[in-house]
Amino acid sequence: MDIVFEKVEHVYNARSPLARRALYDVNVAIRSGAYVAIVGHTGSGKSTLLQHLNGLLQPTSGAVKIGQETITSNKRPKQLKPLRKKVGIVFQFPEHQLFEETVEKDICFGPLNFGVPEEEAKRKARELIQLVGLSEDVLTKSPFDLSGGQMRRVAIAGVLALEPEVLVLDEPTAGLDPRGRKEMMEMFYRLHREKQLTTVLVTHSMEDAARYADEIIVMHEGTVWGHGTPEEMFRDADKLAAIGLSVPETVKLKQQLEKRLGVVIPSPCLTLEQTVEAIQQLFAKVSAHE
Amino acid sequence: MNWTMPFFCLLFIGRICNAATQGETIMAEPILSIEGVSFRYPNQSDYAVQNVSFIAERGEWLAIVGHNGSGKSTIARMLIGLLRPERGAIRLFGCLLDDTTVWEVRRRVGMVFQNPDNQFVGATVEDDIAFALENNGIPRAEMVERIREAIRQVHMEPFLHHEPHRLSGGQKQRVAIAGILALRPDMIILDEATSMLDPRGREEVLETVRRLNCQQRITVLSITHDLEEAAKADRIIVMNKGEVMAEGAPEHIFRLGSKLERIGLDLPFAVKMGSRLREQGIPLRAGYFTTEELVEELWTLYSKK
Repeated sequence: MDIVFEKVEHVYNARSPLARRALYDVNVAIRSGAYVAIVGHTGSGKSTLLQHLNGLLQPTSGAVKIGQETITSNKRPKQLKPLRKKVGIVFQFPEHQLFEETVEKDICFGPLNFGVPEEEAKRKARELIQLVGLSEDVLTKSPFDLSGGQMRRVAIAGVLALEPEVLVLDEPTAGLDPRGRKEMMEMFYRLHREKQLTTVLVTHSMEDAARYADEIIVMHEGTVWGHGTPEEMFRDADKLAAIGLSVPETVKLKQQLEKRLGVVIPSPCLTLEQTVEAIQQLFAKVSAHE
Repeated sequence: MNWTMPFFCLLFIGRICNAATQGETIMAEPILSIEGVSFRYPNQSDYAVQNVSFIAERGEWLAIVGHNGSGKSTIARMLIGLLRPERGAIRLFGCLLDDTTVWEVRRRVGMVFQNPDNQFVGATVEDDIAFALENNGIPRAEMVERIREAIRQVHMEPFLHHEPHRLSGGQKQRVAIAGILALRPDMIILDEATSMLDPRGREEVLETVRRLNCQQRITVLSITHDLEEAAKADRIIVMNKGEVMAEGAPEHIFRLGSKLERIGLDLPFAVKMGSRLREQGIPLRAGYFTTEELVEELWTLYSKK
């Protein structure tokens, strides 16, 4: 499902003395099947933008086109129900949204609300619990007896149960330890490929954006500051620094090395592996000259 | 004989501890010592913390690192008497921590928790800092003075009359620290206090803590799974499965390399990069370094070629 923002503006508390413009002149397209990272400093409009993706917020002017649906300021909320099924949002700390007696009931809650027969919802739950990396015997447990990381996986299974075509992730690894963070990010990447999802990741981690995203959208003070591949977006570290963002550590190292050694490193150095390889080649070349 | 010890402490804690705060060397003891402490949560057969011993010196920045569930937060909760050890003893400021000394300890040890939104009570930043002072019966004139001083120390003066919930995460944590500073603590415990912040917020908080540690010699105990943060400490204790796995200066700890990665921690970038390059046959020296130092090392090698 392609997503297109056209001249989107969002003003909170419009027509009141407390009016505050959170988004303006947002024109951006997310193509179907892409993995897109949205980065930006706190208060840059990332979260407001994200809530437009399934109609939780409607633009105060402009339009958001999601597949066949168009959301404008006068669309009735009732008409947005089919959209809510197609776009799944995993909010920050999704485990806070668990409420049922058992894990199975919690995962089935969404599908049952959308009229899926109980047997099918339960079958779905069994499949999903494995997909998020938990064993089937978790299904009969209370979600509140699980560890934080397990609870988060259950909540994510609940979002996936609606079989969304677009998966929106808002800082999905906040509060996890490094291993938990890596496992979670690898899981989303696997889902992205296996289910051919369009994935939108809101993150503070430039490392994750560089490693997983096809494209990066940089938000700044309520509008799109830049949009391109990770290589393009991380080319100018000084410009990013001016809006309070940094480049990944690997890119920082590459740029410092190029300056100190007076060489050009052709690799974009977006991951640790790429960077190790690039430095190895640099040294191999010198040895070959001898 | 046993019962007299806490009683003794209660009577003399003020005098002994005040002397120690002024930096006199009457007490040669460390500010904190934990001896053979074990703890189990109710209805659990496994120990969350098992036979843990360590000390913290006055003015030191000590980091306790470990993955989620390694027992590090359980230790923090025992230090301020929220949990009680099943075995072993905790001594703070030279006194055994028990029911009679816990209130004095809580006055002198401030804790900053993980979630910046869960620790505010006041409608304004000023009210919030005043809350603990009121509870401790500080006279109004002194309260005003202490609030002013505390807010200045965390560089948040312009926000004194703001509502706490409208601040950024980093600003909230700095206000939480100001609330602690107003009580003139001897020790600050940061329990994953930066893990929910964005990179800028994290830097703000760590910069504040570093300043307090250097200039006022407040003892800092930071509990974290972020080894970049732990790298700033004087000493690191690595926890794994409820036990102390290693202890030492950051450069010493980072030599453990892949052992740390195996227990779910992530090495600081330059350390990780250095060890990967060494594995690929680039003869870098081992040890801890920053990205800048790594670049210099590579430059030296490159120019020798």
